[in-house]
Amino acid sequence: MRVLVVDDEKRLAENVARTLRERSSCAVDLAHDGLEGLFLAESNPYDLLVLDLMLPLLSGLELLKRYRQLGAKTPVLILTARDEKESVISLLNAGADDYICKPFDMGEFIARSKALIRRGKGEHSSTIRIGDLELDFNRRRVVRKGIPIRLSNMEYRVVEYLAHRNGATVSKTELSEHLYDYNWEKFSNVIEVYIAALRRKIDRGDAVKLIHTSRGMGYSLRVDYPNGDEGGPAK
Amino acid sequence: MKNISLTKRLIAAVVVSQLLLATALVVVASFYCFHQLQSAFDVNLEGRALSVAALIHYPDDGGAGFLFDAAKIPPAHHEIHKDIYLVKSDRGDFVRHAGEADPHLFDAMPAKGQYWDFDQQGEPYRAIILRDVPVLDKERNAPHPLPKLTVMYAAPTMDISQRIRELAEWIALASILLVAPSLLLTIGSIRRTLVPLNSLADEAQSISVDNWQFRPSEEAKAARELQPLIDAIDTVLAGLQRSFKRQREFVGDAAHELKTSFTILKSSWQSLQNQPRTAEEYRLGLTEMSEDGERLEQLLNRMLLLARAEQSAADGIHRDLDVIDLVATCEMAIARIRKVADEREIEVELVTSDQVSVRADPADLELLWLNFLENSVQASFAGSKVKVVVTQEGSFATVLVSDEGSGITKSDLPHIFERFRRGDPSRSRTTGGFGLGLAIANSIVEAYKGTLRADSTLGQGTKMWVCLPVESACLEMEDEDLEVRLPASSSAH
Repeated sequence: MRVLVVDDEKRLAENVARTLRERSSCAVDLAHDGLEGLFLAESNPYDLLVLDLMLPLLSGLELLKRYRQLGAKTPVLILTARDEKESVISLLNAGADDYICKPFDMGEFIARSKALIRRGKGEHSSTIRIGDLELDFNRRRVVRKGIPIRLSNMEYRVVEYLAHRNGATVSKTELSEHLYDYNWEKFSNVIEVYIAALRRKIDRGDAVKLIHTSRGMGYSLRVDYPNGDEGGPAK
Repeated sequence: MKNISLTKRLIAAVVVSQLLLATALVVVASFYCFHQLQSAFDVNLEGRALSVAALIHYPDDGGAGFLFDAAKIPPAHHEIHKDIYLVKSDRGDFVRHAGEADPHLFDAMPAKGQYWDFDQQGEPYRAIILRDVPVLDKERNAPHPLPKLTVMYAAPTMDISQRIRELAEWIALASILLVAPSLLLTIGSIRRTLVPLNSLADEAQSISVDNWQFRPSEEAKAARELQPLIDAIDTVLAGLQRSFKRQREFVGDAAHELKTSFTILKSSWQSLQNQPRTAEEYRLGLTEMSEDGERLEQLLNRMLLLARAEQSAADGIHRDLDVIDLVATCEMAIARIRKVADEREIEVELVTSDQVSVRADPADLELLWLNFLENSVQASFAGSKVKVVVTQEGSFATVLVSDEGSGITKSDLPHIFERFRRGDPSRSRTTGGFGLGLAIANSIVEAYKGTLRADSTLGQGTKMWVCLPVESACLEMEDEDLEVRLPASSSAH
């Protein structure tokens, strides 16, 4: 998952980004003013926007309005130091999905951002079951047939994203866009390496394969249909 | 203090005055009537006395002496208390008196005057004396010289007092009958007159911390006497409301700043707890957290400074202040900003002549200059200059702090002395400002009864002038010095 954090307090932004990376395996981009934030939000497909309200150059509320005018459906979480009713109402009316008052608890922040990401993908439960594979997003645990599977941070990001896409085929470009932050050098073969590792850890020794490659189109995580389109083990 | 009711007081005053009026009316009317009746009585008395005198005649036979026909005396008014009279001739050869009346009664006659009053058997009598009355009977055989008569006549005055009493009773009764409706009318009109006052009082009573509405009724507004009161209440309320609003804004702003600073600190330690880390990572995290903590502490210090300065500005300074050198405080402030200025390659220059004596707390002044210098240094570009020019003109010292920095926009300039105001939030945040420096400076200048002025051109720099009253005892020796040594700086004004 890829998150944009817009906050002019650099230390706070960095701490939030660090927590998002470490506790929910997200790729995080930072912006320190409203215009930069809007530019990044417009030009990258984020799974969540974290917005401070008091921003230089362009206020958080204005950024939010413009972002929604573009038709963006990405959930937006607002950080605010003012908890007056009017400002909360105007925030929600402007298209915010949730808000959290400063000084907030990081645990609550992470829980809310995870919930927002989930709901943004049309998923309401914090666990997903695909065949005999179980994913627990809260604890970042992947279990198949009751046996926990140890995954690296990046491997988890890939499988989490695929799981959230509900069996749809996800292109390599989309995957890299949602798994890496802005500063990452994008090498598409890195994705293939992670897919291979996942296949080894999840599908090895199982008759039912869950990770599928659609040649030239991308990857999906699903229980193979009997007449599946191009399903089957990869080369 | 005793509670008094204006309405009751007014009504009491009206009642008392009306009763007094009625009483006075009774007294005056009685007095007047008494006089009228008495003069009528007196005329009557004189007539009767004369008629008594007229009854004396000489004997027809031409003999000596007089004849007196008592039966022809006109009947007395009073049945029981008869009139009394006494007639005597000047030769003493004839004395007649009426009834059982003691002729010595008339001895009490006053030496002067014609009328007098006396009591006869417990009855008030009024008497008249007619002296030298000639005998009216002009006979041929009248003796020569003609005898003169003295006639005294007294009648009971009971009738007069009776009538006066009746009259007084009538007037009193009429007064009461008239006073009663007039009192009712007056009380009604007093109550009506006091309606605006009462409505104003009710309206004023409804004012509270939560309700700032003060809408005096139309009646109250129409009353000219209440206008100053309404105006005063309006003014006081507006002032109070303003300061309440300012206070609320300050608390809101302060809470916002504190929350933000605390959020950073909290996020630092909580993100450090995300996962087990190496000692080096913890060390780094702790360093960051101590920075965050210092920032929070700085904010608190600044807020306390501001609160203290505002207190001084509002109530005046109640400390014993020494006469100090203003230039020395400038030097101290410059020394403190020097390190930051050097890092940013900004030159700070002090232009001054001799010392300037002011009565102040050096710490306050140093803080004042430091706040200006911090702003100037932050706004300045590398290689530029910040100047502090101290001049003295008459009883005022002027300190000008100028920079060649980015300047302040026209729209921001009127607000720079407000609390938590930052010219450019993006820049100030990163340099750690809270937007309190100039507000503190403003309050310090106010506390020392000085003036503060700012001028700025975007892209060219900002100038801040502070005018402070100097200690007059040391005035003469510095005046000339300044003119000679600082011709350039005085043209800066």
